[in-house]
Amino acid sequence: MELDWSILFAQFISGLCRAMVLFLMASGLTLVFGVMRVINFAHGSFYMLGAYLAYSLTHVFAATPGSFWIALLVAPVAVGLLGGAVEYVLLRRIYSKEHLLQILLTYALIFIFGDLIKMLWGVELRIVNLPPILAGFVSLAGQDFPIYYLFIIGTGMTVALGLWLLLKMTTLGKLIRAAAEHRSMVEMLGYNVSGLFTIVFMVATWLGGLAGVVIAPTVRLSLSMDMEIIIECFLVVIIGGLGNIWGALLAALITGELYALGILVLEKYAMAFLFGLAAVVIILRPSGLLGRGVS
Amino acid sequence: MKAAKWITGTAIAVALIAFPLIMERISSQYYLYLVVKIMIWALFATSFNLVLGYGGMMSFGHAAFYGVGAYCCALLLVRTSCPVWLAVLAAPCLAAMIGLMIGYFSVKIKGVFYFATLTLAFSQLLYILVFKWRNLTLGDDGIQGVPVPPFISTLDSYVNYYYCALIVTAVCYYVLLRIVRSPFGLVLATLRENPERATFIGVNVQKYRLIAFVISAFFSGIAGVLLVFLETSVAPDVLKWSNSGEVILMGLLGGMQVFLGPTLGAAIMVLLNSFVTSYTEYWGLFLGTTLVLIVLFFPQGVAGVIYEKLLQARTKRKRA
Amino acid sequence: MKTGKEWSVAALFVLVATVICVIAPTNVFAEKPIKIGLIDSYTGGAAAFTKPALTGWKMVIEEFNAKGGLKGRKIEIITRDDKFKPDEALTHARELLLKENVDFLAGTTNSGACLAVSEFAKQKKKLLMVHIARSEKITEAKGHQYIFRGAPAADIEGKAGGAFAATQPFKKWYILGEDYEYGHSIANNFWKGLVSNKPDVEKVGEAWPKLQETDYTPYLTAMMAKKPDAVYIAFGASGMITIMKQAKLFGLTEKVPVFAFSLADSVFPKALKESMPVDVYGGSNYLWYYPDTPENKAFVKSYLQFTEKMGEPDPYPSGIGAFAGYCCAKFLVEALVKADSIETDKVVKALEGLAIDTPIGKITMRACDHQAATPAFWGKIVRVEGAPFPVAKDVQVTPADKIMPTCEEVMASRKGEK
Repeated sequence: MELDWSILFAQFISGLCRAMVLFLMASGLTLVFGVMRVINFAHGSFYMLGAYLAYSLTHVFAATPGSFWIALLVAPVAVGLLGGAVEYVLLRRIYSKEHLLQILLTYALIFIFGDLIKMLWGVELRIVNLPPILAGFVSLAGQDFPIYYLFIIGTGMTVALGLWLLLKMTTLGKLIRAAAEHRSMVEMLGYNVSGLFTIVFMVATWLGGLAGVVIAPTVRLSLSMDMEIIIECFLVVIIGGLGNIWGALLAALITGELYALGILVLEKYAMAFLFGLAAVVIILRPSGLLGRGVS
Repeated sequence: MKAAKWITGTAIAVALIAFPLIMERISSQYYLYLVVKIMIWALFATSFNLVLGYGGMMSFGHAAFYGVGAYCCALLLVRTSCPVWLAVLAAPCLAAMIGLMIGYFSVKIKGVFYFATLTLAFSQLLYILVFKWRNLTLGDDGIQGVPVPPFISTLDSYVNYYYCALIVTAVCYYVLLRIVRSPFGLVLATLRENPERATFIGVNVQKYRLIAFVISAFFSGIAGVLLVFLETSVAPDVLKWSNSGEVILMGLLGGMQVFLGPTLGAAIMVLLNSFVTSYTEYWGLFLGTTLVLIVLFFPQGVAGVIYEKLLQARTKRKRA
Repeated sequence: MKTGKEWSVAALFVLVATVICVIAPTNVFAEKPIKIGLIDSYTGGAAAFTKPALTGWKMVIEEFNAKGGLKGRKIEIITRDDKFKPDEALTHARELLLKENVDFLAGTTNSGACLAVSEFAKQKKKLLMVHIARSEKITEAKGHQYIFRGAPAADIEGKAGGAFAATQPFKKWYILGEDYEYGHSIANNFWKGLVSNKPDVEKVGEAWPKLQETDYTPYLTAMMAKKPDAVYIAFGASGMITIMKQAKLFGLTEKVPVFAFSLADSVFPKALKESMPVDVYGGSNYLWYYPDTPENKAFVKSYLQFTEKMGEPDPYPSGIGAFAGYCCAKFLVEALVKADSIETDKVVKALEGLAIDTPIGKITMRACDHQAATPAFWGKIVRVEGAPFPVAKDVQVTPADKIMPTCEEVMASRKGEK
C-alpha cells in the first residue's frame, strides 16, 4: 500500500506540473477572449517567440551568471510589446467584424509569425538551458523531483494569483472587467476602451511569452512549437469556460491530472481523451465548467 | 443577357476540354496534374461552402469527411476484392454517415467558436483513430498502390484522369448548384442571416443545418475518392485539421457568398503555392499576409470583389 | 442576375489559370545536367539531420562535378521541402519528375512519405534513393526494382541495439516509445534482438506517448514506479532531443541505465549541448571517432573543410545526416560511372551488389532487396578526455549480415503484399 501511494503522489506532482504548463498558456488565451471576445489563434506563436527570444538572450548573456533570469524578465516584455503593436495595427480593425473573420485573421498570423521566426532563427533545433540555481532535486515523499518543476508550478500559481489580484483589486482590473461586460458604457464614462484593450492584449501576449521562457528549458525549440501546444491549450480554455481564468486553471488541473493518472491505467489513448472531454463539455455544457466571463 | 451567359459557358467548357490536349503539345503533364488537384480541392471547398457560406456554420473539421472518403475507398480497394464502382459509391456514403453523426451533435451548438471547436475535436478524434488503428489503416505508413482501373490510370498520362475528374466534378457542381438554388438552399441562406426569424416562421433550424451538413460531407467524400485515384496512396495526414483550415482559407480567398468563389480560391491557392514555393521558402509569410489583407479589405473574397465590380459596371451601363 | 456574373467570374479564372500555366517557365539547357530531385523535411524537428544529409550529398556531388562529371555532364541537386507530410512529398515528386524532368529521385525522411513516393517511382520507373527514412517496409514488403536505400533500416538498427543490450547484465526492461510506426518498429526489433540473444529478460512495462509531446513527466514518473533494471527509449531523432532533455532534467539517467536508440549520433550532443546525458547507452550508424582509422579521420577533415566553405563549419559529421547522405550519393555516383549512362535500368543493374568505399569500410548494396548492408555501432556514452562532448566508449560493432533479414524472408514478405 505504501508503494502505491508514493506512485500516485509522484503522478500527482507531475500532473500538476503539466497542468501549470497548460495554465500558463491558457490564461493568456482566455483573458483575450473574455475581454475582447476574440480568439487569438496565434497565441502559440507568441509562446514560440518568447522561447526563441529566451534562447537568444541566454546566448548573448551566456557569460553572465543570471542569463536565464534576464531572459525571463526581458523576453515576455518584448513579446508583450509586439503583441501591443499587433493589436493596435491589426486586431482593432476586426472587433466589429464577424467571428469568422476574426478567427481567420489570427489564423493567418500563425503563418506570418512562423515564417518570421524562421527567417530570424533558422530551422535548426535550439536548446535553452536550465538556470543553475534551479538545477537540483528535492525529495518529496520518497521521490526525487527536479526543483525546476516546482519552479514551474510556483510560476503558474503566482500568475493565477497575480491575475486575480489585478482583476479584482486594481482599478485597471475593474475597468477591464467592466469593458468586458459593457464596452459602450465604459466608453461613455470617458475611458479609452481601445487603449484598455491594447493593454489587455499586451498582458495576454506577455503571459504567452512568459510561458515560452518558462517552458523552454524543458523542451527543444523548433518551428513547430506553436502548433504543438495550441490545440491542447484551446481545449483547456473551452473546457474551463471561455474567458474564465479560474475555469482555465481548473480545466488545466483536470487535464493535467487526468493525463498523469490516466497513463497509469490506459497509456495509449491520452490525447483522444482530451478531445473527447472537450467534445463532451461542448455538447453538454458549452459555457464550460465554470461558465463564461472574466471572473 | 442569356446570350452572354451561353457564350461564356461554352467558352469555359471548350477551354476546359481542350486544355489537356493543348498542354500535352506545348508543356508538361505536370500542369494537368495540378489542374486535377485544383478540381479536387475545388469540389471539396465548394461542398464545404454549403455549410460555411450558405449555412453560416464554420466547421473546422471537414477534413474528416474528405479523409473518410479517401480512406474508405482506398481500404476497400486494397484490402477487399470490392469492385471499383462499389468502393466509389460506398466512400461518400460512409462520409455522409459520419457527417450525420458529427452533425447531429454539432448543429445544436450555438456560437461560432464552440461549433468550430466541436467539429475540430471530432475530426481530430477521427485522425487519432485512423493513425492508431494500425491493423485496419496501416497507421502512419499510409496505404499505397491503390489499384486504379486502367482507363483512368495515371501511369502513362494524366489526360484520361483529367477528363474523368472533370466529368465527376461537373456533375457534382450541377447537383450542388441545384441544391443551392432550390427552396432548401434559400431556406438555408435565411438561417444564416437570421436564425431566430426562421424559427418564428416555423423552420426547423437544426434539421436544415443537419441536412446541409450531411450533403456537404457526401460531396467532400467524393473529393476524397478523386484524391485517392489521383495519388494512388493515402496517409492519415489527409484527416488533419490543417486540411480543414485549407478549405476555409480557400472559401475566404475566393469568396464565400458566390457559388464559384471557393473554386476560384482553390485555384488561386494551389497555383500560387506551386508558383511561390519554387522561388522562396517563405510561403507562409506570403499566404498569411495575403489573407490578412483579404480579411481587412476584401472579406468578400476575390470572387466577391469581381462580382461587385461587374455589378457597378452594369448599373453604370444601365444609367448611361 | 447572379448567374451571369458567376459565369463571367468562371471565365475570368479559367483564362487566368491558362495564362499562368502557359507562360510558366520551361527549361531548355544547352548542356543538360543530370538532375537529382531530393525531397526531404527541412522544416520542423527533422531539420537537425536533413540539412547535414544534404551537405553529405553535396560533398560527393561537387567532387564528382569537379572531376568532370559523367562524360562532361554535371549533376545538379534540386531540393524540395515536404514538411514531413506524405501528400506534399508526393506533390513534389510529381513536380520534380514531370516539370523539372529529374533523372533520379532521392529522399525522404518521413516513412509514410517515402512509401508514397516509392509507389510513384515504381509507376514511373524512376530510381528512388532513400537516404534517411527507416521503415523496413520500404525495402522489404513494399520494395521493388526501382527503390534503393543507402541508409540503415529500422529492423537492422533495432536488432543491433537488442544484440548490444544482451551483452549487458540487465533483466527487467521498460520500453518508452513514440507512438508511431517507427517507434513501434525499433522497439519491436530491439526486443526481438534482445530476447534472441538473452532469453531471460522480462518486460516490466511500456508506454507510448504521442508524437511531438511537450511534457513527458507523467511518463517518466510512471516508468520509475515500475522499477526497471534498464530503460529503452524508442524515439525518432526529433523527439529524442526533447525526451533526453527531460530525462536529464528529471535525473532519470542517473537513476537507471538508459538505452536510447541512435543517441550516439553526433547530432544529439551537438543539439543538446549541456543537456546531453552521460552514462547512457546509445547507438548510431556512424561514429566520427570510431574506428580511429586514417580513412575516417580524412573523411571528418574533408567534411569540416566542405562545411567551412559553406559557412557553417561542422567538425563532427552525423550518422543519420551527413554520413547517410554521403553514402547514398556515393552509391548513385559510382553506379552512374559503372553503368556509364543515366538510363534508369542500367543504373539499377549497376547498383545491385555495388560495394562502395566508406570511411568505415566497404558497404555493399544488397542485390536482392536493394538495402545497403550498414553496420551498427553501440556503446556507453561517457565523458572522455579530449572529446568535445560525451562520446561512446567500448564500442561494439554489429555488421549488417548478422542481423539483416535473409533474401528469402524479404521476397516472401513482398509476395505477401501482392
